[in-house]
Amino acid sequence: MPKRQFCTFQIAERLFGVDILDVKEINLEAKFTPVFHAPKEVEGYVNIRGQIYLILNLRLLLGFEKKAVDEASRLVLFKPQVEEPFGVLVDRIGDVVDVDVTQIEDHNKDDQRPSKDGKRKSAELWDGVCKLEEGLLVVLNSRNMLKSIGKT
Amino acid sequence: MEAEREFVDQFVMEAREHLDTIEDDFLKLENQRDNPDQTLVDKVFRAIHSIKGASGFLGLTKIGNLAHVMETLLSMMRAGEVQPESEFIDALLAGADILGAMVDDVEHSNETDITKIHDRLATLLARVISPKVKHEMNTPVKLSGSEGDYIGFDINEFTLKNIPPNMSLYVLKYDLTELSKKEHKSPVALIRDLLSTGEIIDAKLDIPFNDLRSGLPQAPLVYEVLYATFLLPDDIQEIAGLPEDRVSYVERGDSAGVIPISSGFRVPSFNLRTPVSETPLPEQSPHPQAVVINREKRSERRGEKAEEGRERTGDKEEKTEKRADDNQPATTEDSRQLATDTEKPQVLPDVEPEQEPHDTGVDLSSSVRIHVDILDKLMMLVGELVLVRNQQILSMENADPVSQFIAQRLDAVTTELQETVMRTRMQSIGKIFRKFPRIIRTLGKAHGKYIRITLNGSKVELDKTILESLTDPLTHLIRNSCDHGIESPEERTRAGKPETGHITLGAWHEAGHINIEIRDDGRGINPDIIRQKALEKRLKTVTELNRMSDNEILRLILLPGFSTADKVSELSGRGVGMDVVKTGIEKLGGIIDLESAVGEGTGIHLRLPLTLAIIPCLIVISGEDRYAIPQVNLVELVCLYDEDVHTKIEIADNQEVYRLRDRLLHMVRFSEVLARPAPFATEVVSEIIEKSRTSASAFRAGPEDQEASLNFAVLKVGTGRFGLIIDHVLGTEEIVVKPMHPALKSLNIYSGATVMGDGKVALILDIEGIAAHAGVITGTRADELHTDTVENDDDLQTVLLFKYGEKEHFAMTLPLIRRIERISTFHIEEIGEKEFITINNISTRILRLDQVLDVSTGTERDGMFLILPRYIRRPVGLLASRLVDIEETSVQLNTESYMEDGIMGTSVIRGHITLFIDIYRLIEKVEPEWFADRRMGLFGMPGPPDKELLAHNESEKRVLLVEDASFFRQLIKSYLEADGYEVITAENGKIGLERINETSFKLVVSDIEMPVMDGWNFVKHLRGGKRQQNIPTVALTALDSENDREKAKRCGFDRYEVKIDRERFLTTVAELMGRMKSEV
Repeated sequence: MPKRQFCTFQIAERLFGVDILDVKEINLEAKFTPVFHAPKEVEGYVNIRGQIYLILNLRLLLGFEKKAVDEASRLVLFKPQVEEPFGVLVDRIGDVVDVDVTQIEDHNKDDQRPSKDGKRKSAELWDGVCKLEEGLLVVLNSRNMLKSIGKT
Repeated sequence: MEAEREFVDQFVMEAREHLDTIEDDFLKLENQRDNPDQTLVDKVFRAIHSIKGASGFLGLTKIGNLAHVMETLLSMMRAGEVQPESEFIDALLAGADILGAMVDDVEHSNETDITKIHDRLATLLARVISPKVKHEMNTPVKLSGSEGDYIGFDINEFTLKNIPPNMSLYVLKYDLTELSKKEHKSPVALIRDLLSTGEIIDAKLDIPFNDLRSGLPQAPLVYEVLYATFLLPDDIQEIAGLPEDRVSYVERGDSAGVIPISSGFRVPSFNLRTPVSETPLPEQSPHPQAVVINREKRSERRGEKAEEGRERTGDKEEKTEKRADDNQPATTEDSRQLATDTEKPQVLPDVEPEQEPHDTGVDLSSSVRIHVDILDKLMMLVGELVLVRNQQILSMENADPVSQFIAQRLDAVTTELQETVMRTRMQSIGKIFRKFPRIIRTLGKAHGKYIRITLNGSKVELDKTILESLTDPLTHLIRNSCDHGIESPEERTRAGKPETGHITLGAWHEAGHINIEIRDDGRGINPDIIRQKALEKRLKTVTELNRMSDNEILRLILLPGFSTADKVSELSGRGVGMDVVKTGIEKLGGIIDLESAVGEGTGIHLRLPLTLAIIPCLIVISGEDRYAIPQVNLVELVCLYDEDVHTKIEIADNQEVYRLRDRLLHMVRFSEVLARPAPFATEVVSEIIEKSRTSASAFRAGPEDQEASLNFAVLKVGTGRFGLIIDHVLGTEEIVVKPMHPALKSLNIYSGATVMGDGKVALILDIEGIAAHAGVITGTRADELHTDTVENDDDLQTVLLFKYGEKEHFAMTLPLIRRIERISTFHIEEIGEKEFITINNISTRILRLDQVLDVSTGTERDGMFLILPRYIRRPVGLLASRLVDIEETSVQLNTESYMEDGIMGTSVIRGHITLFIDIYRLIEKVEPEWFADRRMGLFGMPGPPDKELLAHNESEKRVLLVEDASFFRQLIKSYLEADGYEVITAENGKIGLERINETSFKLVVSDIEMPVMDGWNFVKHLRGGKRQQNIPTVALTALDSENDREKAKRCGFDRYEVKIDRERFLTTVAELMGRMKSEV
């Protein structure tokens, strides 16, 4: 049975996850340099060991209210092959979960195909949903995150 | 196939190197038409020859074929049979182009169709070869070894005759397999080595394979070379790296003439050495086989076209055969075979082999080729290291001395490493420049114009990335100059100009930047036409246009909308795609400037950073964040205090402006820029103005809780300027530029990001983008206000007004001031009669005006100011109690009403009689020995000269001073007179020339920038004139760039001095007058 691993995190008390193969690291860094004029989802630039990452606020990206950075806040940084260096700010980091591919519902059968137009913005980011013991996990597609900024 | 790639790569790189310079050389040869430079002919010959040689190994048939026929033509040139006429150069250039294209795509080179160019060259050859040469070429010469045995090579008489008599011939036998295994030397490298010390007359490869692209076979592989060289037999063994038995001497025979005894380097005993035939080499039996191979090859190629792609050296036969066919269709098979060998034109005129390495332009022993990827990686790592270094410096601020010492060392090493790594990426601009003579030649021919080009500063180096991106804009500009700048010969003649138009292309370094200038002496750009065009295109309104200076009008051609729609012919000016050029240059962080005079020509000036990766920036703070402003954009920093913060920024024409030395500067509040993502609309500007008005009135109501200062940076965009109001200035720093994230590329107020010393990211500002965002119309308004007040008065001086005592008002011109220190009188120390204060660890002598002049005593305050003068080697400062202001004012010095030693004169400024200080004279008064050296030389005594002593031989010391500004005229005159010269003045070059005709002088001192006739033209006329044309001349000017110095020299100035370093200037004058030298 093929399995996928997801790195999970919380946004507004809800559980989200991204494919662990896309994740480079989880980081505590919270010194953002704001980029004025950038779309509101852009949290700012951050320096991670000499490399500059663009950080997006996943709350705003998913249509939630903004919330101040606190001790639980973490950065999920993605691997360079996903896009130019970028990461997302999440409320709280969760576990890595193994999920049977068959358990994932409502995700595009053809992984390569971009989601259809006309859907809600956040839907673009949704790759699928699966039921875990602790609740519903929404699988996000990190590859579509940068594309969806500034569209409101 | 490692070996394969390696060989081919090596070949490609070398061939490119050769081809890179060859074009230029061809063009040079064409210019020397009747008397070509032999070394140059030889150089191009060798270049083509080595391409041919190496391509043979690699089965690059087509490259070899083409190189061969070019080589043959060049050999004729070398032998003096052919002169480098345009027709030949055309063909050779075309050939070199195709060679270049094939080398660039070496994998498919064998599929290239070269028949056309080959035929063209072959036909030319067939036409030019004289019957005598033809005969010689068809006369085979049997060469024999030292014992009369056959050596395995047949060459023709022509070839042999053209080997210089003092060269000796050898047959060298290499085993390529062994060479590669033991010495790791590739065939390409072997050929290169051989060519560096002699000439390959012929070569054979005894090989069962068709080429070496598949790598070297395991079995021994014999490569035989007929080699001509100046070297001694012993040396040749060493150089060639061959044992004795593989080198054999070849008799040249009678036909080659007698080898002069005087050359006497051949060891007599050499003839006794083992002859070649007795030297069995593995799988090799000397001569018959060689011939057989050749024959086999030929039949092979006839039989199988498919094999073509994998031919080796021998295939040059095909082409030569073809040539032979062209020449004499009736030759027999045998003579063809001979012709094949004979036509390989290894002709050697008298060439010094030692020059070879220089000629190829590659110092093979001291350079290594490194892949750009590695350099890029290195560059990136150094960038990181610089960041770490910056962070470490911060963290070390409070560390113990040992750690601090280590930190300093690390700092120094890092800086040096950074500079060195940057240098590895540097390439000379000549790489681009040398393309242009060709382009100009082609364009000139196409348009029926005569154009020549002068290249200056080809050796100037700049970063590879910049260099690459510079090619297109430069080509564009050069094309523009040819197309629209230079007129047709008829038009030029009518305008009284020489028929041949002249384009100069120059590059030079200046203050960490590269300057490139393209200048033509064509028709120039007519601002009226541009104006009209801008109206038609609705780019500007009449009102706007009327307010613009000619230079701003010129800059309109850089606007995007300007060029695209209309074609050149209608415009009869420039502007096709100039916006593209501008964008290209600006992308590189560069600046473009234009100047043009109708009928005289156009100059385009580019200013570029040396490298893109690390740039100096001014770090400023807005809100809580730091931003970097590239130093290129920065003009100056201004700080306003107290009430000025609210009163000095005025509103004009719905804009906030500041009056900076009589120029109106459009002010932009950076915090407002950041707060408003949309470009400023009129309402937004009004809103901002309203906001600052409110805060100004709040200030009047209760000033206590208001900010006490305001900073702004004066920034330049193109030729325009504006002020950017920022919260704080942190200082300057070298920063590593990282590009903006692709998702944010659309934000035009930033040009990149960087990591600061504390690890936080800071954004780099795009000044042009900010100007556009804030709707700044750069330059226009400011200049116009400026011109109103200034144009009719060229005598404007920026002066510092200050007070010392209660009564008098003093002034000093700004150029004479190095800086002003705020001091506390508490720190003044006395030593005897003298007073000192320590500034930056230097004890500085304090000069009080009441001690040297008859003026009121100073107003004592706790905080006073020390004015440190420029151009004084010793630390001394003039004490001032209060700084009144800096004023740009027209100065007419009055020397009649009040005069005292140490005062230059008086002038009425702001309703007060103001005394102008002669700071040098004052210093001299208190410290005469500081100036003693020069004075001793001049007058034999320290201190100012005795009037009587000066009285005799007047004409011996007469100096002509040409200077338009009356202030400087008086100043310099007083300096000169103090040194005992008689000074006659002139207001401009024209009057200067009149004076020259009237009076005889010992020396001329001239300003550069003057009305009516400037210093350049003055000195040109002086040098070209009939009277006193050899008189020593000093340029004394405020211009201080390398370019100006260069130009001054060109125009005929003997010396160049900057306004105004009194001591230096007077020393120069004394030297030129021959007085210092004779007496010291």
